[in-house]
Amino acid sequence: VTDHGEQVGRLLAEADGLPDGPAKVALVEEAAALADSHQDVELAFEVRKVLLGVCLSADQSELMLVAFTWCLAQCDRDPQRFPITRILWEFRWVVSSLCTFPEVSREKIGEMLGEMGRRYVQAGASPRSFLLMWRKMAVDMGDAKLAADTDLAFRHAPVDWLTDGLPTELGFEITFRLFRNEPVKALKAATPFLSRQVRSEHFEGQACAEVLLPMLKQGRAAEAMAYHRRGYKLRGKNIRHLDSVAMHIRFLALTDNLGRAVRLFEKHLPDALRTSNSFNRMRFLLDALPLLDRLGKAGEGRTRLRVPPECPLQTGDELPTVPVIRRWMTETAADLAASFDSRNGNDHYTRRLSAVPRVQRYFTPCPLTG
Amino acid sequence: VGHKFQIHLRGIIDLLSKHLYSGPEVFVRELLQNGVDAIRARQRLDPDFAGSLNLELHTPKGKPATLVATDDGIGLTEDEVHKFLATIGESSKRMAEGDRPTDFIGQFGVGILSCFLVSDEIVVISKSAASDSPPVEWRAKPDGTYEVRTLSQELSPGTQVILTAREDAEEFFSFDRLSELVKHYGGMLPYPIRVTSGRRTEVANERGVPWRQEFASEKERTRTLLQFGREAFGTDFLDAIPLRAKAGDIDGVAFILPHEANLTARRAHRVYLKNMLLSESADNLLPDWAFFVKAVVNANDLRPTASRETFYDDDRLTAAREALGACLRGYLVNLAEKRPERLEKFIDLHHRALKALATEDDEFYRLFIDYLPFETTHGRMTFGEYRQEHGTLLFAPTVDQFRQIARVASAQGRCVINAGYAYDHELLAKAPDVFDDLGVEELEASEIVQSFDDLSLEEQEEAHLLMGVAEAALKPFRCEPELKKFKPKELPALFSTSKDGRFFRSLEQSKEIADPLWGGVLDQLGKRERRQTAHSQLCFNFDSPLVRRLVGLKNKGLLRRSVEMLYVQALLLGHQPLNAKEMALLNEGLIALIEFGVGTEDPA
Repeated sequence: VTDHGEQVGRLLAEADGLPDGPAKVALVEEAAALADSHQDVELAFEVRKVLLGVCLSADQSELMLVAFTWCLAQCDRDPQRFPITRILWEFRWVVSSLCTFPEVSREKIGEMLGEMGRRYVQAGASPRSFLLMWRKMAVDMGDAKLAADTDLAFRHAPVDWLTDGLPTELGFEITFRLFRNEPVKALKAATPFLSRQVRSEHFEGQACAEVLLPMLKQGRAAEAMAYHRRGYKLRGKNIRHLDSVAMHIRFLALTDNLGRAVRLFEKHLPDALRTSNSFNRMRFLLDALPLLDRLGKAGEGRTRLRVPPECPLQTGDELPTVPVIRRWMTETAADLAASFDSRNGNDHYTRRLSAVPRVQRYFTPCPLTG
Repeated sequence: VGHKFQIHLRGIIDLLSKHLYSGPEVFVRELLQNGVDAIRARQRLDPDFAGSLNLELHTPKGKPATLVATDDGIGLTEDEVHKFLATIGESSKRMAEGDRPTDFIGQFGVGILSCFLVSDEIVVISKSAASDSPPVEWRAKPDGTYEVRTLSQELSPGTQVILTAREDAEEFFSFDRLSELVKHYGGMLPYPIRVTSGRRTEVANERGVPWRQEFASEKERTRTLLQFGREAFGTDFLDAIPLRAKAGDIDGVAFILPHEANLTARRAHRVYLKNMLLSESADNLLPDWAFFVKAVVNANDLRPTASRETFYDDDRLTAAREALGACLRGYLVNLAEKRPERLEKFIDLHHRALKALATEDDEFYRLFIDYLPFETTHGRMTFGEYRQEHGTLLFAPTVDQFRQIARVASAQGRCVINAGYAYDHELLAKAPDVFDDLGVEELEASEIVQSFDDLSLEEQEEAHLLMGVAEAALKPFRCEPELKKFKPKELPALFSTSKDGRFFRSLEQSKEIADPLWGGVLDQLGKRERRQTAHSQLCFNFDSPLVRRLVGLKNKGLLRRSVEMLYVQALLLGHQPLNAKEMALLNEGLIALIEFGVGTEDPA
């Protein structure tokens, strides 16, 4: 092993010992830079592959995109040494992250999906996984027609070595069904995770969060409470899962567990403001808003909430009041929704924001320990 | 009368051998386990009963060897034989959770079948100690058939299992191999296990459990345990720590590895369940931070997983893990208080484990933080050494930032800690909560530049041309020039960049080799708001004699070339990867330099 190889190894070992997050990303980034500065392309490629996974877990899509572009360029330059199959799996992560950047145009996203399809077909792979990704992006972009079309194609595409495993397909199915307002089918897709017939911590966490509101609507609050308990443990630690966390906050608010809801809100709001993923920030704000509505309605308990220094409402020692925070969250969410809608060419998120107050009709007090 | 097993036996045996058991040798474990459980069951009828096990090998010439494994335990009646030996998954030990005797090792009722891994026939002869029923013989074949008959002769209570070596399993029927396996699996069992072959006989577990012996002194115990570690693992461990936990009823020993342990290496501890070896690779018994030890423990009250490789991660195991962690922690505290020289040696090898623990445990942090080493611009220092000399912890948040400022900070006498490695950042962030008078300050490369001395107005005027040329030359690289005075004066220029600046450099690096489609996406990303300020900085050192000469230079072309070369040199000194444009600068600059040199040579 060369000197720089040893140093790279040490950096990666150090990174491996850290939880997912910016410190871990910085160490792997450093390892890549070290390999680059020694012009050790093979090592730099391997390290970047590690970096892709670390970025995915730490929700640093920008860096993932940059690192992936580099890898892909190496594959194109020297296909013998770097066959494209080495990064086809990671391709989907990168492409699926594109719609979280409002500045990346719809046209560009379309081109990138086409590129992914082309590369998969060239490598002799089934289109199934990129159709799955396509459908997910259609959902994220609020495009019902595209989602339906790709869904049809996806279901006819064969399974092969590059298709996602059952947990991923089922996990995406839950979100797709909820997007189409088909709660029964969504719950059906979630069942294997809830019953742990299909084992995946990642998707179990997602399922537990996504079923909360549909179950509440079906009058199954007590049952859902168990999924809140299980699911928050699985998702509360990683900034990547802010969207799930907000679903838990909404559920707690709607079941009249305001104490815990406020605690989680205050704990995770700093992450929502710090994350570079503005899509996740928007989703957090949208789904946490019902808590603020609830606090306003309850007229008791906390009237002021703790907000992090990044929040423009934090001036002096006094904490901002619930109505002030609500207004600011609504405005911030509206700005974000407008920027995503404008890119997506529809009004999906703006409509979601205006629908937020209506969720209060499902208010069903249910004790946390029940 | 021939009876049929209720499920396809061959399939089950294949399944066991391929997936559940690590190898055919586990039949020894299963034999011992059944024997021990039978003795324990008999002891419940007669608490004074001692119990023993015998494994006798017969190796007649020209015939396959046989093994007769005998225990003097509870024995079985004919009904029990039908019920327990012939129904897979059934076991005399299988009862409702609350009713199950806690002193039995086995619970899956498949143990005896593992004998089919080495023998094509299993013969069990048993006489029950709990009933007057006659002895019974059970003969089973791997095709799923078995026969049961009662025997007329008088036998004393207990069970004999008779196995005949299959051709491919003969190695397990030799005295040495069998004895080795018995020691391996049953070396800690409390009943004597005799292995016999012809005239050779040996009590395999004669030495008993090393950590349960009486010792004259602490020193004597450590010596014995280390000797045990050497024999068991062929390693000269650094030290041996006795382990004990009420939860799970655990005792044992943890050996400190004599080499630095990899943070991510898989932990593999040797664990015994009720004194019978369960696994060599249990990985969930100790806390995550305890990656510096290899443990050997016995648990009397933990549930093994079906594969019997480790324990179920339930509340009891969590409590046990905490208690075992407390033993290790107690050892370390004791080292700090009474054996500082040994602690030093320990920290040399295992400081990362201590750091991991200190991030989780405030009290431990208080006790140990002063001993823990950190990389600084003045070399490796302990936190205590640093704290004594400095009122404020100055640290660079990442390895990259540290590297950028190390040389300059060092020349200026500022001692900066590299907080980019595992746990360091968290440990430093905790410091002000523990030490009232200690401040913590994060130092980024761009900030250190701001602390350099400014030039006088006249000096600025003097350097006007240089800065103008530098600005134009560095603009394509999103780099802004600065001119300050700083140490060391041998350093003509310092490159620094922020996290965003670094990101932008990576983005440019990828963009220049990307095809237009990907380049286009990166372009759209690059337009994000915060990117607009993502500049790097090249700070020239007015105190450097070279820079002074450049200040006096009037030839703009030469000045530009010099700036470009200083930029590339500063990047290289900062271990920044060069992108293609920068690489081109370097090449052009070198060629120009050679041409310049050739041009000045008198061609005489």
